[in-house]
Amino acid sequence: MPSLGKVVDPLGLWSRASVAALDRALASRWAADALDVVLGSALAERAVRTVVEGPLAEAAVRSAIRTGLLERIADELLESGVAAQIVDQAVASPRMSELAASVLESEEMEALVAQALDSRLVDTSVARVLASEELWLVVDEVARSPAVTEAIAHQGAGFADQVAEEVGQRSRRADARLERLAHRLLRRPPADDDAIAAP
Amino acid sequence: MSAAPATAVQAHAAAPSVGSERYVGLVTRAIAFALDAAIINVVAILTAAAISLTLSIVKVPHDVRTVLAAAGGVAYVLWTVGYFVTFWATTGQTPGSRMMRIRVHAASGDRLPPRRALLRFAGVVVATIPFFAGFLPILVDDRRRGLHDMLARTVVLDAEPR
Repeated sequence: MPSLGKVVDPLGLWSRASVAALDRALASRWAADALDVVLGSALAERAVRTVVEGPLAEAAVRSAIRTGLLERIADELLESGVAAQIVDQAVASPRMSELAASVLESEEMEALVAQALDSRLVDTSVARVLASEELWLVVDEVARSPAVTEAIAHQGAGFADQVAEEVGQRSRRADARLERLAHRLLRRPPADDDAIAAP
Repeated sequence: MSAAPATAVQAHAAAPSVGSERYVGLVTRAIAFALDAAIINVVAILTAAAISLTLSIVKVPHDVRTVLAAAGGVAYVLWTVGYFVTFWATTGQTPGSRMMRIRVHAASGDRLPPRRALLRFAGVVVATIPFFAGFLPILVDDRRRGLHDMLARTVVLDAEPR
């Protein structure tokens, strides 16, 4: 059985005319003004609040979680590289540095860190790490590594050099002092350092 | 003493490897010599202790012990002479001299021949006998030479320019 529309307007002229009229109405300045008035009204605000606070929003969230919508969005963002791009931009932005600095320097953060350090969790974790055999294996491995042994040897040699240098300087000053004394006792003119130097 | 004997005036002027380094004085040389004496004696004591321990569990006739003691004395002297002569004639530096950064040279600037190194050691012994008076010339000599330096014609210089 043909529908009423096809009977009344078999060529669809009426429908096309209606759509064209609607397009024109939406594109008009009056439509924009009307929309501004509606959106700026207390009614619109109440409508939005009702939707957000109402069961509809919760149902939408539950549905998004249940259907895996959030995971799909996250997967899409990660695969497309958009997420990485956003993170890069966020990290590189000066605002992020300022934010991080202000957070780290804040009294709240200091109190939080102090609280964390005072907590039993830290003591327990440290005790557990110290009691673990793996830690000492790692320490042993590091201590025996060529880089560490070389650094220790280098430091030891550096210290020995420093001591030798210091003793050498002092003994040479004592040389000069003793010679001045000898020259004075023998009533000879003091030795000239340049005369002591080899040609 | 690890200090070095001296030089003829003409050799002094012609010393090519002596460069502009400085002659080393009595205190520095005495410290170097003390370090060498410590090394020599520590080695000797350890060796003597090892031999004594060995002999303590082996029954050795008294006469043999006397001979061994005499041999030990001779070995000590040889070890001491060999230590100084070898180092002076090769690198010019005993370990003590190396620590104090000084070096024994022939006055000409050449390496010290073994025979003169031996003569220098004899000079050290001679300088020690009159209550170390043989080292006093180091205090007044223009090239800081002791009796042993003068005998062997050597000088003692800084091992590196200061």
